Amino acid sequence: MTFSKLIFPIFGLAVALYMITEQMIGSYTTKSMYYTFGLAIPVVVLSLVQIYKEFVANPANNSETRDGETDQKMSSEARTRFLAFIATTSICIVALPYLGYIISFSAFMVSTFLIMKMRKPVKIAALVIGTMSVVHFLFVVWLGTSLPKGSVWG
Amino acid sequence: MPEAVFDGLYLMLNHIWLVPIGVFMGICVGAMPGLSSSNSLAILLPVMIALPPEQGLILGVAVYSGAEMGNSFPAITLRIPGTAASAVTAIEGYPLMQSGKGAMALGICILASTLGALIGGTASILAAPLISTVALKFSPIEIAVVILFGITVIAMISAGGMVKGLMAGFLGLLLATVGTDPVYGQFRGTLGLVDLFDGLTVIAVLVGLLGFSEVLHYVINPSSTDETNAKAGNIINIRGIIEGFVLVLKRPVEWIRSSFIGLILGAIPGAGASVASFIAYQQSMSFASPENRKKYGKGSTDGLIAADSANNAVVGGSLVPLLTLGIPGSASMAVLLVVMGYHGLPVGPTLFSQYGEIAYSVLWSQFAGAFFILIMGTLLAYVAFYAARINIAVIIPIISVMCMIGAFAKSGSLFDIGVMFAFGLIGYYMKKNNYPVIALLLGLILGGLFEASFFRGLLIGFDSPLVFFERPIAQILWALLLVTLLVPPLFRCLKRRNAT
Repeated sequence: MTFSKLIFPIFGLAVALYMITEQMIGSYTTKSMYYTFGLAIPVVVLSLVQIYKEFVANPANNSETRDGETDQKMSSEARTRFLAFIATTSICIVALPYLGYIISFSAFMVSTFLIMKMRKPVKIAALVIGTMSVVHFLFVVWLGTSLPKGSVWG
Repeated sequence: MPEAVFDGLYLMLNHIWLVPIGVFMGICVGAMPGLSSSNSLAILLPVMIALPPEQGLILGVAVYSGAEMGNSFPAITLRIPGTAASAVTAIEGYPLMQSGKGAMALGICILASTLGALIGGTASILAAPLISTVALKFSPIEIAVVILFGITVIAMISAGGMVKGLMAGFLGLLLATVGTDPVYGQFRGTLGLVDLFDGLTVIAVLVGLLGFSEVLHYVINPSSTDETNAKAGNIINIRGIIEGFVLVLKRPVEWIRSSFIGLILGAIPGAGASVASFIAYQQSMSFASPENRKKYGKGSTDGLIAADSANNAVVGGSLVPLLTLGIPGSASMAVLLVVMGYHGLPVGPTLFSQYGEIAYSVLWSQFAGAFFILIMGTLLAYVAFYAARINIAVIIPIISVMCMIGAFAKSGSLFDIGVMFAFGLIGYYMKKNNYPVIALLLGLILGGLFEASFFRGLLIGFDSPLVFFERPIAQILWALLLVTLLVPPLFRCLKRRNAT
């Protein structure tokens, strides 16, 4: 059994228990409470059933998951790549209001290319410039989408 | 025939320029292994919501149709199915590619997809007004039961099993309660955050679950598309493609039957193109002569025709419940539902009465889409081989940026990018462990409507829950629900008993 199998049922359980507790502690109307309970209690029960199933399932059995891949632990290289990508994305989101979309997204793309082991500077530059051009002219100029300009550009 | 039919045709013709763009984008994205119609629609969501509603929906349907056909290209050329829906295409198409008939296989896919789309379009235009007339008789009671039925069906047919499916569905309905109670005005599940007072932004959740989760999957498992299995002499030429067209035209029973299977299964929430293509393939095998049956799995043209015509007929089938009942039959339809909701279009049977021309323009666009699938599919078949070999490392940053823009575009809130990111992680773990994402999405999108219908139903019944079991249409739906829940396990039980 790998921990990743428990992530979603634990998430479901946490959400359901939070909603139940919040409604019980707060002074909610009875109908609203019963509606939330009516949804949350099945989630609690089904999450516990799923968690129980994962604990009692034979750990030697590799159950098929997505696309027929067997449920194996992530290799350390894949885990490093995953964590680096999560960190890069988080930094990009935090930096967006300060640096604006052009700088943040460009830095994000360069970092991601490097994480994915692409080392051709010309190709990276071309893809970043091309993508940012499309983003700017399609979304900002043509569709009028307001993207964060950041403190740098005012 | 209602006037709206012709108004819709006129409206579609005014915006027909969007169809070739959508089909082109759909084929290109579908030709890249790992990207499906739902991913591509989630990524294009910011474009679709920025356009007027009829344009956004026409573009969405065109992308959907193009992607369902484009999925076949890597399946045939590299034996890499773009999605589960093109797995059968890989089984039958790749051996044809290996034996030097790759062009013919591509031709079969292109024309079978076109004909499937035509049948899907025709049936949806004929069926939609009839179903919407029936659906207008639906009270909040029936609407609540239909939503529950849709979620349960998805749970039933999900690969992970009923428990996982129901859990995802109910969690989606529960997450839909986050925000302000529509009846009593109290805050629920907001964690004290102002950004959640209006609830979770559906667009951000959708982009995260469908788009960003795929990015995370490919960061961990970058697929290798560098293998070249095509032989040097396997050139894609127009003669081979036309040979494929002729073959399809000589087998009308095959594509008509499969198209109707795709149409019916497309209308069932959660079934989708993958189930449709497999069932159509299985039916094709069962109707084949003993001599032809031996060819299945080794390059059967009949099997290829069946799978690809069913794939594209699903588009028409899934549009019917979306436009008439407001129930998306697939993740791709869920994206279109979000576009409709964003523009304030009524979701459900009143769409045809209040905005009939928009509804019909979407249905008519399938015919334009079929035409452009034929033209563009033929032209793009030449580059299909190269599109399938694009390094996934190139696509990941581009899609990630599009996902962030998509999440941000609607409300201009950076919080929504965080929501997209969080649900991307959730979606990744859901898909990894066979939890149906569509069930969570359906619950979240329809949760508000379900709650409103539920409370209105209680009002109608003077607070008695028995009201949900008293009306005839509701009773039929409950009966269907029970049949869906009980019959498959009963069959399995009987089978086991007969085996022993």
